[in-house]
Amino acid sequence: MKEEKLTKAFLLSCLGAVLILINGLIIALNGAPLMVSSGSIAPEMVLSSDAPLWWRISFGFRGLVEGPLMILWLIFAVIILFSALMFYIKPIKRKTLGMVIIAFSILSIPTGGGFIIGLILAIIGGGMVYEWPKPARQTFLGRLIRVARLDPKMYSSFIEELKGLKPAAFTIIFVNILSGLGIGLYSFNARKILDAATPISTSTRIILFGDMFLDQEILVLPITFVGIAVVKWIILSGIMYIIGVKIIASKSEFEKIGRAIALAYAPISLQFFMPFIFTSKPNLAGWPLTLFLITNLWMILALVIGLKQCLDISLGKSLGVVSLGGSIYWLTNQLIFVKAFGTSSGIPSSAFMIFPLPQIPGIIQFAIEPPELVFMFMSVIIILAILLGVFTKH
Amino acid sequence: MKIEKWTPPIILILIALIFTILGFYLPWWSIKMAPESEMALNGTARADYGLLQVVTASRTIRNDTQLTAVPIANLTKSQEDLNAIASVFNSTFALVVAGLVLSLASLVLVIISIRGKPMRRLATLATLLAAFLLFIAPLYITSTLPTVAPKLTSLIPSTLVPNNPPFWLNQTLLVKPKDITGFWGSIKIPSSSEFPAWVRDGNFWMWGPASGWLLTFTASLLLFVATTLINQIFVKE
Repeated sequence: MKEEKLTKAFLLSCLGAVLILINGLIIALNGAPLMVSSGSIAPEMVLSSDAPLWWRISFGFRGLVEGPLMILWLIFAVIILFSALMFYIKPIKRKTLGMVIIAFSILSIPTGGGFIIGLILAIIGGGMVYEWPKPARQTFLGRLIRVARLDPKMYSSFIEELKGLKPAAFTIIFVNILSGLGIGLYSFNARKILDAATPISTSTRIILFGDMFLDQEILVLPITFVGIAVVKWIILSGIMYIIGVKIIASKSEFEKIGRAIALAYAPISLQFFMPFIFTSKPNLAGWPLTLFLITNLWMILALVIGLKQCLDISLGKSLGVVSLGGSIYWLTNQLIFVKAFGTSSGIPSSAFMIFPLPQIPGIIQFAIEPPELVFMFMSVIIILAILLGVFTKH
Repeated sequence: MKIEKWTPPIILILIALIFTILGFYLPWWSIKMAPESEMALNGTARADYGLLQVVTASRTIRNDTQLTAVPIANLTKSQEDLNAIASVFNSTFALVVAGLVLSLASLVLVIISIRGKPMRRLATLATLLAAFLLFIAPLYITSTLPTVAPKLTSLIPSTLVPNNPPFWLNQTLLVKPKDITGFWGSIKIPSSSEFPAWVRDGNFWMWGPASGWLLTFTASLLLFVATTLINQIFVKE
């Protein structure tokens, strides 16, 4: 049995490493990232205002994969392979080897991460190596995947097993850094495309050839907003605690609710993959909006399941708690963060941001106008919450 | 499913052997049009330099593709220049051959070692030496090729250029051998009205290692991994 798990962890990491190596070799051979697109488009058309919807996925970023640098990416892929093989032959330093596999898999992202699949396999394999001989389903990553699949039982055990608020706070920080990096890189390059002063050749290089321009702002933004993200998480947990424990009178603790909320934030980390996909100019804002809606909807669903398990209430009631708590949080977020920081950064004060970062410069702004519409929306939510039994004692 | 401990290093050596053999036939260095210039000009041209001192070149104009293969000797004007260029390729070739022979030897020695014969130290040493030689070969050509490339008369065989070439194919002649200052490199699209605005400042030609170079380099890395694994298995046993 133990041998079987060893082989499974080894094979997953090995397969991931091989895919990362193949991806690296293809990129090195091409001298440019691998591109998958929705079809051919005339380069003159891609930036015109009446361009049809065209998208491309770039496995790797140009500017980071050419020249002697590509030797480094090949060495990284071989290091993953080496660690997987070493673990199989001598599973003693499994923690170090697991960490090496995960770290170098993440480092393969600029080359396309083994067509993304390799990255995912190597990270899962690396996690299994780190926690060997635990079965795949019981490892941290295995459980995270089950949580992402909205498995209610997994939620209960995950929330119970974590101790204190420290892991939850780290989850929030980790998720915000990942999504912040993705958003930062995407919005910086999208802004370059939209900027009239940018030469047309630069914009074409980003969209058609996978060039990525970097700036210190991309790194600074996610780090700057980590503190705000944690404060916002505490506020949301507090609101949910008051509704769940004080109004509904369920038996739960602030810590558990905080953990459930932190866990529900996990899908937001998928926003990291935003810069891999670009669309033609008129749809530049359409793609991130789709990803935002999907990840936020996923987060809301995870929150509903998490609070249901945490407060031991029905699914409908949990939906009511999330609707009411979420809208109060939304309003608080607007009053505290958007009004305080948004105006100075050029965002209209009426903008209501629903994602962890207070702003995505120049690209996406969620605004409901006129302000009366917000109050009408709140009224509907409160009536819905009453109908779902939020104000009925447990 | 149980995988024998010896299987991974043997597979690695086998893959390294295949990569090295392929490396003899595949190009080691190439110069080609950058993706943006290919798209802008609706055509392409490239030249690949192999270890066997043959330049394989191709060009496509409006779906019409033409291929040609000429010895490097045809691209030099004096015997002295040819000797200088040939010595780079010959030395690399010798390093790869030595690496290949040692890889084969290491495979045989590892297989013998599984049966308990006293060849274990020799197997580790042979694999390490093979890895080292195959590592040195790409590095050697990387450092020496740019020094001899300016001795070529042209980088792309002139037979590829038709009688009435499109303007951009004439531009191929703009890439002079003296432009090759490094193993990796590129030249920008000239600021000419004949090029569309969206491609300006982009790369016109780019050069760098080709598949043979990459496979041999990867083979050396795999052999280094195999050496460590073989050593670990011996220590364990």
